[in-house]
Amino acid sequence: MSRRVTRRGLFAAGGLAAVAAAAAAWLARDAAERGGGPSAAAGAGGGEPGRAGAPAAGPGRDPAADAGRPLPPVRGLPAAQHAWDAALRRDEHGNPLLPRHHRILLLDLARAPDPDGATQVEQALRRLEHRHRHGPDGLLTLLAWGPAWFRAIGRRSPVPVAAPLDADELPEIDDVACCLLLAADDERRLDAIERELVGGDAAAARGAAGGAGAAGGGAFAGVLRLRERRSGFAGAGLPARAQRAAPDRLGLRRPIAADAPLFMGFRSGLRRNQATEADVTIADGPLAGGTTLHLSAIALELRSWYELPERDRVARMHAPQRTPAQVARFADDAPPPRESVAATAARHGRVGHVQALATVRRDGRPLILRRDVNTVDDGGPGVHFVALQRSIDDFVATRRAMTAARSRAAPQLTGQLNNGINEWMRVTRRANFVVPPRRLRAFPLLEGVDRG
Amino acid sequence: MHRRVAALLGAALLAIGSAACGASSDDDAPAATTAADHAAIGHGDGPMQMGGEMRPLASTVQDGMRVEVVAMGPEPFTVEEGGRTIAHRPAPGDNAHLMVTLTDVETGDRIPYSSVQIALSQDGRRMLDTRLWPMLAQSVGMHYGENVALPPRARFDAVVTVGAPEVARHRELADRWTRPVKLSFPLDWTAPR
Repeated sequence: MSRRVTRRGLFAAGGLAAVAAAAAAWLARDAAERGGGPSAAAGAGGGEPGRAGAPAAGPGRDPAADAGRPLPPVRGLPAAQHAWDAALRRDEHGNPLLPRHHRILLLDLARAPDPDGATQVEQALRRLEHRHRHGPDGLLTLLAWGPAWFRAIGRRSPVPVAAPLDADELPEIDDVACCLLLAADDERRLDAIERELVGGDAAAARGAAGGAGAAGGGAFAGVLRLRERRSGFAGAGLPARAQRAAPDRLGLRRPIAADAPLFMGFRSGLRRNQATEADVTIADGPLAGGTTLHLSAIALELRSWYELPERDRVARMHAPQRTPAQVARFADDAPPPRESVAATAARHGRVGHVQALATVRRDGRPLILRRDVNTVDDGGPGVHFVALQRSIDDFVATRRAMTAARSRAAPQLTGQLNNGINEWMRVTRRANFVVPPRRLRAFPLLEGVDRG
Repeated sequence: MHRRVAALLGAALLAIGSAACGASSDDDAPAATTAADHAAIGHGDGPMQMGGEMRPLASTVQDGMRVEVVAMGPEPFTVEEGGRTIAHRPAPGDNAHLMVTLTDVETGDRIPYSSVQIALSQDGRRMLDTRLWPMLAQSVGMHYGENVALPPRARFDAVVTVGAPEVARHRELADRWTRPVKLSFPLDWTAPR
């Protein structure tokens, strides 16, 4: 689709580039000031424990971590909580690989917010950071705050309460105070950390939907209360393992490919098909250096998905013009065909998911940074979709592009039908959050909190 | 006027084809229902008739649209995908064809171009969550359906989500059925014979 270049457009593009550059500089600044980046943090001291939750010598580790004394921040951690990429492993094409296991804790306030509560939360997180190195072989964290938090402190929320985003979805809207993401390659470590923070028996609750296993207590006791836990995974072999473990084989008659990183059999997160961390960083205001997060739960229908021949799955995931051989050669990008979505719709009567999303770009890159993972929390195949973007508007624009394709020449193409992968997914939950920079992550914008 | 609009919509649907149920030879057999107090299931103004047992599961009316959930035995159908016709034969283990019909209560006309999803869970665990194909059958008319494999007997929590029909509308229908509808009900399930 051609785009007319205007003077205003050029100014806007220049402004966006400047914002991105400033954000990149901000992301890097902390490492420079502290004399090391995430890789330095990972290298110093080594010693990630082999057993879940066991203390170990880590970067900047302080004996106070085990003695209950106030802990200083761990030196060398990125200023942005969402700055995970530098710590992630890479595939042979340089694409970042997410940690293999993920935990998402939705938390309510257990009492009215106060500075002591902020300190309690911050200390609990610092304790983890002193014990586990920053990375998939240790632990990655991100604490995000929703509109309910900002209502509690009488401040205007920087993000709206989530809402349905197309004509056929009626998701439950999660309006919780905060959401804690925990990610690591070691699933048992996540169990132990969850138990340490919110109590309960996380290992027993693993794979169970809702707040099962939450018994109260833990390092957040009296301040934050677990409303719901979600678990996820991403990485070669894990979808096949989940299928083997499911009593009904997830309704599939044949096995999911042994090396498939995600349930639908395609890779996600090719680096040139993602926004960068700098792209999604908030440039100014009281939460500059942070980002926004949209969290949704999606039920997948794999049975009829895998009844499609491979070429049709490629057509739906990428574009009708794409072949399985072409997609197999994609290394670090998933370029859409040159033909516009409208022309594809008219000619083929269907469009691809990647192709539809490619209509939403800023400076040639997507607006959102996806960190989606698979799940079997409710017994069926699903996705916990985590999207980071500078503003929730960027997510909404991207999501709406998924259902936008239409053509009078192809009336069988509706928002849901013949439109990418929409037929095989149903959004069941939605929530919006803002992710403060690490320094402000506990009770952001609450006055009177010692952030030292 | 309503009927003319619906007729146009129906003609358009027939022209493009979406999915089509195979019609059985005993189309004139009366529909068997297991819920005596269930509202009549209509195709147009007449009763819905189809071979095999027809089992009404739930019904509701919202904003002038009747949403009815019905099950029958598994049924072969075809779907157009990328200009080709793909045959969907019931898989081994399939024991039901779940259907949802959407009807304008004022005119009795079926409503096409919606999106219908059905989810069944048992003790909080998902047993089924699938989008139904928009589908034509000579005796049933326009409906949304899919073959499924379910236990012979079970109690489910069922949720049917009906999207707003995505179709051009004349003025009198511009403001109706513009939001999704959700129908939740406990389902004492027995697979159709």
